[in-house]
Amino acid sequence: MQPMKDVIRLMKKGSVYSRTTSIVFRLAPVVYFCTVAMAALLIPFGSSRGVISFNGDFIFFAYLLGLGKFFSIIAAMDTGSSFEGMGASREALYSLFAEPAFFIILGSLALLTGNTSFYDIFSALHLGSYITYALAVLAALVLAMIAMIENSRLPIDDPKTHLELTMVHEVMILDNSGFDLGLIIYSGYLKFAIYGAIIANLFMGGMLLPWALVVFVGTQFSFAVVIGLIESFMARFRMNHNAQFIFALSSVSFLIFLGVLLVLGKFI
Amino acid sequence: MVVVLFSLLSLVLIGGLALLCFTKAFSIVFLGNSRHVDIEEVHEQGKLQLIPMYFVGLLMLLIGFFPVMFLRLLEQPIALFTQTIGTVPQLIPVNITNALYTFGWAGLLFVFLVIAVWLLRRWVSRNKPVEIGPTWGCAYPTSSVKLQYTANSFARSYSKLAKPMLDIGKKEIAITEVFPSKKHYETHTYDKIERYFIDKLIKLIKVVTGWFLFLQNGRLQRYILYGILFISGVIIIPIIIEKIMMLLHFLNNL
Repeated sequence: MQPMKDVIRLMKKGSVYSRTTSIVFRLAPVVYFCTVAMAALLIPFGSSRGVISFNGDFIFFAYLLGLGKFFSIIAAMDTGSSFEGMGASREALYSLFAEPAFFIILGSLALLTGNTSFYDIFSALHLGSYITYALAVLAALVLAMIAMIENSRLPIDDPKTHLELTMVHEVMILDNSGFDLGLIIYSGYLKFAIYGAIIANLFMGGMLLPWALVVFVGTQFSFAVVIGLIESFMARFRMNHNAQFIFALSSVSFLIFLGVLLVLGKFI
Repeated sequence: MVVVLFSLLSLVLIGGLALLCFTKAFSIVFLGNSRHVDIEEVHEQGKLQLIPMYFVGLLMLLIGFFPVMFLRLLEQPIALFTQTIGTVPQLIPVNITNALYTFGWAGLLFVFLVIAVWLLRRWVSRNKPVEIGPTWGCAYPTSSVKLQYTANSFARSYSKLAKPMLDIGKKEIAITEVFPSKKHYETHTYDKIERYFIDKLIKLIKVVTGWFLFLQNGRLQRYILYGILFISGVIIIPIIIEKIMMLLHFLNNL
């Protein structure tokens, strides 16, 4: 529970602001946190819908996270720092490449099931053929990597690095402190949990609550272990390889799309 | 469905590029320190002159939060063109209307959530010390404002990847000495697609429309004459067509 304790400790602290910054800088962490919290409300849980659910909600989900990213980028630019500008530029580029991967996956699953909301997609995912489990595994892999990119973790970014020139997300929040920094860090944890929940939903769609709980906890635990292993044994990529890697994720998600076409018999 | 998926993919690419573009434009124009000395004297206009812009902004927000209300207002005029007057026009499918309703309420919920967290932030931080200092500069706290990211440097990683589609003109006096004198570095980026597919077409349109430039001669009498000619045409041409049709009908019945 140390990370949560750190967040609470930060929230109780005072703040230091750069004299260059405006209201945008103070508002951005709040908006960033709220986008992530709202995105969490869209995720279904087994046989229960998300708190907010409608046709096309996965598009709303992606654009909510995009809005949060928009605010975190402009907040970094508001400081007038070249370091934070560099991080903002990198973050915008990686988001540009990571978004197609997410949309191809969800779009493919929408095509497979004929539905356009998170709940309906996950509920109908495994009703037809067992090959969908193979697609779900592939989708889980891509979503796990997207979560690493979204949260700026290894191998894309090293959250513990102390050299600004090699940072992505961390360099953007160098000027944040106190409650704002606590919110940003907590939003990161929440984002991880959200992606974990989406991965769990790939396998538990339509399950009753007790079974759904088991799958959810198991998936989140495995997700945490996998991230721990990656961060322990893998070095970060060179900065110019990051874009290629993220773009490669879109190619893997395109494989899922082709798999869906195969299942549906619409390949040709 | 495949078409829908590819449309979705295009939407995503547009979304990603919009994020890059708007963060760049907004940040360079409004945020950080002034990048030029001459714009430091620029001040905002009076509040009265800003009201129309706030009004437009408010309308845009209302369309975002209550899209169905505005779509309903549009249905009647659109029905004039779709010939559905008298029947109940249902231009928007019900499932889309429902999704838009939920979307609007979700947007409002988001705004309330932002206000609630902002108030919580103020309440938690009410007795906490707040310090104002220089931006973190990694041991260079008084760096020049010229070191800030420019629009070009912000988009540099993207433009490197999109190089085949861009014409990047560079003027540079490279640093070769240990203690260099005044140096210069300047880049101008232009889109090849725009150059070959849009600019050329616009040039062609300009050539064709140039043939009719004599019409725009600044003489008021001529402009009134154009109006009279247009109205006369609107009245006379259908009559002429009708007479021709009558003649054809007459000839056919000979």
